[in-house]
Amino acid sequence: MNTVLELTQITKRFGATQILRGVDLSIREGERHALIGPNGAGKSTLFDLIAGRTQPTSGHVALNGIDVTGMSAHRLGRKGLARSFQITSVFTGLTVHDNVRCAVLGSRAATWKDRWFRSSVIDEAAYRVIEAIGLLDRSDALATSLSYAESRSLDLGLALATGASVLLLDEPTAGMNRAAAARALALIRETTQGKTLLIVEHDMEAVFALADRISVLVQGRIIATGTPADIAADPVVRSAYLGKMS
Amino acid sequence: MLNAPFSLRRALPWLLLVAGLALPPVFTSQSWLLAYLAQTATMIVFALSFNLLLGETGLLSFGHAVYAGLGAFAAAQIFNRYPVPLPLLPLIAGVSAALVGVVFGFFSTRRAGTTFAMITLGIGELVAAGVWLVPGWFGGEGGVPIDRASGPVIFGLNFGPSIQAYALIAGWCLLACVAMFLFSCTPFVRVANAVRDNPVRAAAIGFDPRRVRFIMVIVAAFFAGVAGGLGLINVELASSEGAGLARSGSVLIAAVIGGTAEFFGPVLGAVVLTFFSLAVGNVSSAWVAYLGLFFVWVVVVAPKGLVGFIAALSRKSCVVIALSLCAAVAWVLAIAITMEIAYALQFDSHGDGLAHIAGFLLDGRRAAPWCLAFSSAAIAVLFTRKARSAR
Repeated sequence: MNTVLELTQITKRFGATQILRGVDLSIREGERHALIGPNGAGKSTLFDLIAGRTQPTSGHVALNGIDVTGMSAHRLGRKGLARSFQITSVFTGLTVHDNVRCAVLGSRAATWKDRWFRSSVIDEAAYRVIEAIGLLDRSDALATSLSYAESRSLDLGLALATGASVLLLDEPTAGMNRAAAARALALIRETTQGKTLLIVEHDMEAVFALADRISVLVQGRIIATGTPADIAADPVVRSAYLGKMS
Repeated sequence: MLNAPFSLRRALPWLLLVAGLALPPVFTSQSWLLAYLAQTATMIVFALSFNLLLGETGLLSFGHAVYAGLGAFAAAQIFNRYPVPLPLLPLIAGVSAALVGVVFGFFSTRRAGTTFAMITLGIGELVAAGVWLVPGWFGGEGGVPIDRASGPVIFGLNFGPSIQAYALIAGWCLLACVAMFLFSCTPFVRVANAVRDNPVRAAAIGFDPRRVRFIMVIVAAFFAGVAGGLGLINVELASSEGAGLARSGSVLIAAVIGGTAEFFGPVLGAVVLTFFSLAVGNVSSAWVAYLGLFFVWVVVVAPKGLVGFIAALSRKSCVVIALSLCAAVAWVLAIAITMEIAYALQFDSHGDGLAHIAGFLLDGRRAAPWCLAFSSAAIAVLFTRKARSAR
């Protein structure tokens, strides 16, 4: 299988603090890859760095074989990489429909004409995404008026609407109870068919249910990568991470 | 939005705008009235252009008059040199201002928030100083005058008479309002809203926040330049005041008073601001104080501006509306009496403390007027409380 996203020897330093100490990670096309690790392991930093929000101190990021190290977030967006945010991040002053429509406009398929005139193609694409995330009846509601679970769905919907083939999901079930988390995971599984997923998640049950492969980040290094079964059985992982949790 | 069904609520502001601009000159063509309306029309365009930044893109600019002022200077210079028809003047001013917007927008749009506000303040200072430093271009203290009748005659109109000039200004005002309204309905302005609400997320879905802000600054500068051109047609002078910080402040006040969340907010704000500066300013030297008080009241009590306040009030019962009106009248009375006698005591040329209010003569050295103001304020407080508890 092709490698879609490849990180080589990524390091990141904030002042004297070394957050990432040489991360190597390759994500295959179409897989659901989970990134787990204790708090402070550098997961969010790694995510921000892949998504172009910060730049690595050294190392390289390649997307579909092209070096995209240090590329800004909006250019990465146009290259087919989208992300959701750990803290719900939507456009609060806009309706659900306008939120999603803006994200569709950000996709590669949108032309300059679509940005200046209303286009039925864009509206239909937005409609399909809103339908997929189950918010059709809230389409004209302002994003501020959504419930927590609904705004999490919208956050995912924004990432989907860009038409990206690689999705970075930052703790998609954060702050949800079991039932809501299960619904959110089902939604992710449904809506991301055929896309490549990199997920940061704390809920181990969710991770083991959803992921094809798991990488474990501890103290700025990937200490293991493998199938859920491999990871659960890995003695290093157990002592470094899973063991602490039980 | 564009294909929304026709409704009176949507059409009403447009009807009021057209009626307000077109009807008064039908009944009387006194020059002061035309000048007043022309200033209002100019301010409407200016405030709407400002709101493309503040309301739509979340960019607080302290230097918006730079675009109107420099646009007017450019138009005046071109009009004095080449045989340009007068009706094209706002367009020339707009294009010149947009070019200025390209330069200043490039430096100011990397970040929003305080950074943007401070950079615009700096640019405002810079241009205000620059206008004085190069008297050859900007005419120094006198500014750059034009003779609006000196352009080529079109359809037998030379725009010398003020009614002709006013018709031109009112027409341009409507045209600019419609253009900005249509612009505000485009998907691109929704993207600008997205950048306003959440620039990080806007970048994550593929839009460069800086680029979006940059385009909005250029468009806003264009319409500010149009407003500058309208002002130039009205007063036949491009002056340094037109680009100064005071004018940048007044457009900010107009937009906030009217409300930045609705398209017609700045229009109402422009009408109110012109009312204060011309109508109130004509009868009282304390008009700036009144405007300041009113501004503070809006910011504290009606953060969504007058448009939001009126919309909220209209949903309440007739009793509440009546009580609120009574409270407003009593407050105005209390404040006006206090302010006028205080001004009469302190700032009048006579300093005799005699204030004329609506034909009444009030003597600030006696207790009676102060008691009147105090009791009026007490009544105002009562009405305000009643209005709040009545719901």
